[in-house]
Amino acid sequence: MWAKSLDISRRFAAAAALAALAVTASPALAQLKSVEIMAPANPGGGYDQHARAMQQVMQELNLATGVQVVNVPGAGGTIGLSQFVTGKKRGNGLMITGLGMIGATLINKSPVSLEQVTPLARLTGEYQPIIVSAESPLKTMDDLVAKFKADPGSVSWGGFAVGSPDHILYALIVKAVGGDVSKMNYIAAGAGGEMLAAVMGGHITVVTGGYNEFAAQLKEGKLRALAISSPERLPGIDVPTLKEQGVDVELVNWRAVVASGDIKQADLKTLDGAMGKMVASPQWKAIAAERGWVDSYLPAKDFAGFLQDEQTRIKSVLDELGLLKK
Amino acid sequence: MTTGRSLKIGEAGLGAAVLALGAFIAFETSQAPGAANAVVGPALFPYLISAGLILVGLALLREAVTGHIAHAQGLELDGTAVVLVAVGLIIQMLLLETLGWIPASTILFMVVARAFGSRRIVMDAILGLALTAASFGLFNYGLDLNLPVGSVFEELMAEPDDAAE
Amino acid sequence: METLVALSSGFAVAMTPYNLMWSALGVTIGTAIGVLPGIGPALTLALLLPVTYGLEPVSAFIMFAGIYYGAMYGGSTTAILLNTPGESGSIVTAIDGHAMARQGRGAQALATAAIGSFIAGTIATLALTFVAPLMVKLALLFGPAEYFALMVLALTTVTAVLGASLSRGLASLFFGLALGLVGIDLQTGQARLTFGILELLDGIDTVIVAVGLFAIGETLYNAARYRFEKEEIYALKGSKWMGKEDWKRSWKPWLRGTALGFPIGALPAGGSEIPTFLSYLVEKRLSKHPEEFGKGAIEAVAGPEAANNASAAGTLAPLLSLGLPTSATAAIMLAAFQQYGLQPGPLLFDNNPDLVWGMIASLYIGNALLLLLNLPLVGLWVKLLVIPRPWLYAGILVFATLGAYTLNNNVVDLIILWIIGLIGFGMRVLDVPVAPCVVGLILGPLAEQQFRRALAISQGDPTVFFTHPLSLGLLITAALLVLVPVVLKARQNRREQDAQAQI
Repeated sequence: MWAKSLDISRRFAAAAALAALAVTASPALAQLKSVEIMAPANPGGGYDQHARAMQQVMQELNLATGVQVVNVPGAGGTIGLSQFVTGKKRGNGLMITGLGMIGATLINKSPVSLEQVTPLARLTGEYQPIIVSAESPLKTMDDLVAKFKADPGSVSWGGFAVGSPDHILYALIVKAVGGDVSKMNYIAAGAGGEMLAAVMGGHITVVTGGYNEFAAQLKEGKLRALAISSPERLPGIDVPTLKEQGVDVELVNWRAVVASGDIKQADLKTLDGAMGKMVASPQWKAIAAERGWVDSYLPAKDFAGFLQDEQTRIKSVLDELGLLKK
Repeated sequence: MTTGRSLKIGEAGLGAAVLALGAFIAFETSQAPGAANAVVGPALFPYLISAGLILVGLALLREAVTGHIAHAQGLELDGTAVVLVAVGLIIQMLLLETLGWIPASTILFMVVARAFGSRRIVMDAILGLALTAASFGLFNYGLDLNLPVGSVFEELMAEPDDAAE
Repeated sequence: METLVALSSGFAVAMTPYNLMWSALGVTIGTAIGVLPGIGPALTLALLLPVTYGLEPVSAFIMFAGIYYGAMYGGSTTAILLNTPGESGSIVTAIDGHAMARQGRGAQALATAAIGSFIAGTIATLALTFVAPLMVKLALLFGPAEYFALMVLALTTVTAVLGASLSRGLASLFFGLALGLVGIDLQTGQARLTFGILELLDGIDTVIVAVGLFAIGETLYNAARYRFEKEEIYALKGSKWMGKEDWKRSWKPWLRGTALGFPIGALPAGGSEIPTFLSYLVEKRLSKHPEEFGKGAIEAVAGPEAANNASAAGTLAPLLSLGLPTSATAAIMLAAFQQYGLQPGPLLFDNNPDLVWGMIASLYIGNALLLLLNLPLVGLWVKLLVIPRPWLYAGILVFATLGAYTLNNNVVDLIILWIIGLIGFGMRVLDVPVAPCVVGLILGPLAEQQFRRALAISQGDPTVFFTHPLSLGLLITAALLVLVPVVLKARQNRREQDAQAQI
């Protein structure tokens, strides 16, 4: 019973593949042959959720004859990336990536980098709020900045890991207010629940992460958001931006999809078109709404430029943090 | 046949290995760049652990000389069987991604069975094949997890695909 | 009172034949997949999440609860029968559970695990029903200093598994601690002992080390001894039911394991390993037969298994009452809630009482179904050990490598497994106990993280560990746990000497 329902997508794929063999898929139909999407993380995580959402929507829209997801977890996605770059992937190999992977490749001194893949599309983003406990005396960014300036060590900044988007956001903030990044007391506080509990229990001054991770506790008044990293206020979220409060920083924790480095121009074009159709579909929008992903689609060309800028920006921040020594 | 005496040598070897591991960790840690702004850096625990290893290594060396040994009457060990199992695992590792899960693990199954004295090669092969094929089917089709098909077979299957292009 | 009314309406929701069917299905599938090596509860849930897409939320969560408990239970079966723990929570179970299985008492080991899981699950679900908010309040008191003290307390477990030779036991412990150093240092991003190998950056997986030392190491050893000594493995010796003595020796460990598992499971950084370790330690200290530990003491299966299951229910406390996912499994449960547009937290109890109470009620039902499903199967499972030795060991190795490979789909893990397996073989030949190594590997990195986090937050002030009352209390308990047995033993020795002197 259960196996059956899991199997449906496969069966469908097999049937579709047979049909495609019979008709011989022509590029004019813009239907891709079997696509393999690598999620460089374990099942259940953000990268994996994006890969599986793509799989579902691409199959429902008949954008490809068959879509497979492969999980290659490890080292912040670096292991997936290195397998993706070095493995001889036939045809339409895709990989999910995101802001976190840039930092991970740099810090892990990965022998491969995102320069070696072909940017295909930026898909979604999450803006990051700056969160304190409801009992915290800090009410605005000004309070936080004043506390940091008075005694830098007294502010413990909690985030996922060193070099993660969380760490980078804090560094950008400290830089923007003219503070000394090297005095920042960053605490790698672990994932999700552990970090939330640490700020709720008052063990850590501020934490950050995707807005959704805190939505429930914010609504219940257990936590307070001082600011959010979006360029302007987000609909339905009553939190002032960093910029509004005089801190000139914006950051979106984006997730994207890339293709292999040596992809043919014609194939890239087909894929680019398919991605455009995918993100415009109601099915994709429904999934994004359910998961709290903000649409930040950029097609291949724009995404390539964005990725370039982002890499430069992250690299200089990590350098200032002293994380790229040796 | 491993005698009490060679076990004693093994014991001294254990002490030496623990000692060497401690020294190695201390050396590696001293080579790593220190952390800029951490109160307690990434080197403290490695140094503590390496100190512990060195002390325990010394204690083990002393014990090897002064007396207590594990199997005083000696311990008979079948070296060939150990090597067979260890080599079986290596074969599986090497063949896993080229030949795929089923053949690589079937070979492992047969080699281990042989190491435990089985002479029924055909039966071993059939059982191994059944077990690995069942696990392959369950993982790849039931659970959507990918045990390797093997690059050799993938290429074979890819042929018509590429021809269509 | 209010809670009771809500709970009984929850039972009304869960007890409909339709929902009972989903619960039974969830329990069965969860157990079946949980038994597979390398697939723990988190992965089981992630894999089965899509199956629930088409269901009503209430039915989906009822099925989910079944899968969760089923998968938790399934892991102990392979630990006991094949010495191949599927997840870190059942590593401790393997130590004495597998020893029991070899003596023909596998049925009793499986039974005490099943009944212990049932009792722990039921009591912990009761606790979840009535004291979850209290537990969570307590959990929030735990900061890095308190966690460090808790890790130190758990580390004292090592005194229970050191074996006959102190230096050998410590060698094993320090080897485990050294293995725990491998990987990227979270606080600074610095790689330690990784030799430029990307796959080592995340550290060495505890399950791989446990399987390498237990399953591979032992298979190698048995291969080496096979020609000389046909060790007797009995599938079943005597009755397949737990005898009076078994019951007598099991019921207290079940309760104590539950008492340790639930609160520690409710801690955001508690996890399932620490309560299982502590339970082993407590049982050995309190047992009248401490000499049997490591050789097949039933308490050492009953206690840790109960602790493991109770901690699973414990992680649901912060998830349901605050929306905090504190384990990989809980994170996937959270994703499942969000799939239906629900956000766990106090508001969930107000907005969707049917769902929450239906799910909690189904936890009780799932527990009972699990017992009904598993007890009759016990006799069948132990038949695995009747398989002729060559095929049994060949099968164990295929299973062990399958589990190691599926963890990350990476051959590098098989290489690590091989190396650890050979080391495990060497340890067995030289009579070095393997359990301290696993304790060190799991607890070392956790203790270091919390220690440094605490000092970073206090800006280098080391007194935090002693000025926080909770932390101080835990440290004192740890010190007593180590010192009291030593003092008692010294005193006993002196008394014996005095007695001899008088004669």
